[in-house]
Amino acid sequence: MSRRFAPEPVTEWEDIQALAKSGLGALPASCFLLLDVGDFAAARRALGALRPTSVADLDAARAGGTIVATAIQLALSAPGLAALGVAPATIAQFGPEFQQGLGGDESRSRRLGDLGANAPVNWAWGADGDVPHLLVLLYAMPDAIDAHVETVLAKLAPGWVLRRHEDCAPQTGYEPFGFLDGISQPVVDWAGVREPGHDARYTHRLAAGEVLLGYTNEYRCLTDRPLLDPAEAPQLPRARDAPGRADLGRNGSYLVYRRLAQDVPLFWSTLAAAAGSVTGAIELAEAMVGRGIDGQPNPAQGVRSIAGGEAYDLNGFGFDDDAGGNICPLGAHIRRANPRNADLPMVPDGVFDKVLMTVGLSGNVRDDTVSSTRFHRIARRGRRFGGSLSPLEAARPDAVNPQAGLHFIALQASISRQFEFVQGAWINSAKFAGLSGESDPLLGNRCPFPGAMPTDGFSRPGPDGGVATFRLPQFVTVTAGGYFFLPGLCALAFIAGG
Amino acid sequence: MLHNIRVFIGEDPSIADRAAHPRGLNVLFGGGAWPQERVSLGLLGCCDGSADALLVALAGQCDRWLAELFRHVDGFGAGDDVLAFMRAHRVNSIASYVNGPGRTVAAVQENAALLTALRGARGVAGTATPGSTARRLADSVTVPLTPADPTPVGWAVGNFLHLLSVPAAVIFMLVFLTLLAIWLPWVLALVLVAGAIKFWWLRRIEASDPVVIVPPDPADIAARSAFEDHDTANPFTAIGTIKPGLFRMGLVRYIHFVVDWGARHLFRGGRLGRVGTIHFARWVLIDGGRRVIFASEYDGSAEAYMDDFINKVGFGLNLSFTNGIGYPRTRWLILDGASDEQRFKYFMRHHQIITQFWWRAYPGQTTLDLARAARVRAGYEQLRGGAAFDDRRAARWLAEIGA
Repeated sequence: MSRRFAPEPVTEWEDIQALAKSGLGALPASCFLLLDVGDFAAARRALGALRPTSVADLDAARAGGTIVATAIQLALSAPGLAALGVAPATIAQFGPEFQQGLGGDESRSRRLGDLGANAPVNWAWGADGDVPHLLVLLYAMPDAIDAHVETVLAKLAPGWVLRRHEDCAPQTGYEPFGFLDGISQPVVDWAGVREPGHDARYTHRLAAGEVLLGYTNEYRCLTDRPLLDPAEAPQLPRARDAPGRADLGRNGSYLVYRRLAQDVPLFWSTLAAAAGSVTGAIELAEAMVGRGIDGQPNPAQGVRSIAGGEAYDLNGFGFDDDAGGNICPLGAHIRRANPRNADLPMVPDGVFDKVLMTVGLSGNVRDDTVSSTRFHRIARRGRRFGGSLSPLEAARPDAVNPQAGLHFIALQASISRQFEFVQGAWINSAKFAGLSGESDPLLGNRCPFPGAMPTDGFSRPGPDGGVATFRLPQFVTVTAGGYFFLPGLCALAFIAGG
Repeated sequence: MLHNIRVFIGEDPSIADRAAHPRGLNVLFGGGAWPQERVSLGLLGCCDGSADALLVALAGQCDRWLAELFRHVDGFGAGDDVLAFMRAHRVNSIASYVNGPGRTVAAVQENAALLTALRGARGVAGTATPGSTARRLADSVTVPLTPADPTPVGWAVGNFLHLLSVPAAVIFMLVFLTLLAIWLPWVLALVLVAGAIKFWWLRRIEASDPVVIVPPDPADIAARSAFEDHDTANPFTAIGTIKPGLFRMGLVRYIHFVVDWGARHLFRGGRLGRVGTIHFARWVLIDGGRRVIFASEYDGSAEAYMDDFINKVGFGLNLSFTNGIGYPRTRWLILDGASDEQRFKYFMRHHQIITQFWWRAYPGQTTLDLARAARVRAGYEQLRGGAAFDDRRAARWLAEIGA
């Protein structure tokens, strides 16, 4: 049987948790709960009675001209699945990185840059042996969130022990340093009309199987996930690539959670000192991010329409004509997080040119340094926390730290190929795109590499060929995190024993 | 002279896969039951100059350490000569790739020293034009640089003949077939039929060879990862059994001759195919050609390395690894295979062995760093030689120096 599958349309919306398709931006208030199984039977009953909001629920409300009043999303960690009685042989079919957990392996921490202040040993939760079982994401309007939390907690009280309460600030669209956030997202091909791998240029479009398990991914394969004997799990859908097996993963996704504390006063006072003024600091920060504080790309980048994007939106640009980083520095945050590369560095001129380019007999090293983007996209669903402070206020010497930051949340079908690759090979790499001694100007941990090589640089090539170099302290610290499975509703019912 | 060196115990995690691929019964044609294989100890170094000179240097400088290591190997007794033992057990590779041919360890170290000196002397950017800044910088820094040794004549001649080998073989074949067509058309017809049968046979075995899928145990991955990402580069060592049969035996040799030829003559610009992160790669046959060891040194993490493999040189890997037992199904040797992403990654991890000991001469330096430092040196030598850089070229040279 062939292992390659044409994309299929996603239609089982009543089985898919809302977060897979929407950031739930219409509900600006949110709160995240972390719980552990207390009493096995009661925990399963309580979980089974809790119905997560599905995409179909959102669509039904929208069709009725309203929005859902509250939303609830449920995700489980590997220890959580075990505590709920999922068989070890089933858990062993999840991705190895999910089984190990975000904070469960020193090698992973080294790769992701979770060292020094970021090390799991310093985390509020999520270090090895300290992984919460259940992540409950609650969304509502600001005046209704407290009641929503109370209601859900009451439903979970029999059987579940509350470990931690992660508060969020109402969404403004801006992250705590003051930048418009969440602009670049993959445009998921829910209709199943795009053939992956046929785009000559960078596209926002992404196969549904990169976000949801059980669907065709960018390799036209189905990402491995637990497949069970249908006799044990009659309520689960059948696997597309193994029709005799029940698919526990279908309509589910892996959820990566990282709590990122942002030192807003340090950020703006450092940049103001480096640039000499707050205006200069904003200009420097914009170069570090790669966008204006209002989200606008650098006008010199030029505007082009990109498949999947709206015409002239904030994402209508690429880096093809800026290989040297003279417009957007190579190390800028948006370039590291999404280098906007296609499979080949240039659009080939016919078949012969394509063959030469593919085998590496034309082209050059520099253009091939950063890999194709489409295999390394994530759907971001983060929320901010803490107070807010404008750059002007934050740059003052007596600024009070608003204890702000981001609950970074990413959805994907393969944690290793998507989140871990973006974080390890792009964001955290001191050698990204041929640079040396740098890391992400916002997120870098600045820990020297073995051999005392610095990673705290940020170089900004000028249009004339000169390079301005800055030394940056650590602005953002990882303070908790974990890998979770956001199951489809049928799969959740199965896990809860229903 | 030594770029890197590794020691590994070749304990083959995939040896049980042989059960999935029994050999034919005919002993004459490489058949019979799979023999019991011994576990080898591998010592692999990449060096400048001749391999024998490396063995002499190793034996001269670390004979006690090596004797201690070889003490655990069959056939090496107390008081045995380390050099003679290494010479007797030397295995040549069937294919190899070097990112920067001619870039010696001495040059790498001099380039790095020059770069540090230039950065130190550069100071605060003034208002001067790039051209005059570059001139001032080159004049103010004096670092002793050793001119590269001339390429040995014998080597250059051998390399030239090697370059001719593949085109000569192709031309010879074409001439031979043409002459056959003119003089002995019925022999040509036979040859074509035989060729068609070969292709048919290839497609048949490609479609029916067993694919072995062993999703790695997270604990196994963790055990391998523990040895990875301590430097910007990582070693990769893998071992596997070649599919049985005369056809594969011949194919492996042809393919790797061509791979070696391409790696040596076509991919000289710092990339193997489109992958620019590989410092060295080497294929070595062991156990009378039944098994192969693949060893490389690459920049970045293992996951990124495998992604590069799949997305950029899948065709090349298929060509080589499709001859290994259990590899994901290929078509016409180069298609599919690696593009079955997860199975390919399982295959790689399944065959990977831990590189227990690994050392490299220039930690923290990627292939791009090495190439950049070499370009900076070339510019420095030109400036010192009196060349005039216009502002554009000077700016580019200064930008590569960085700060």
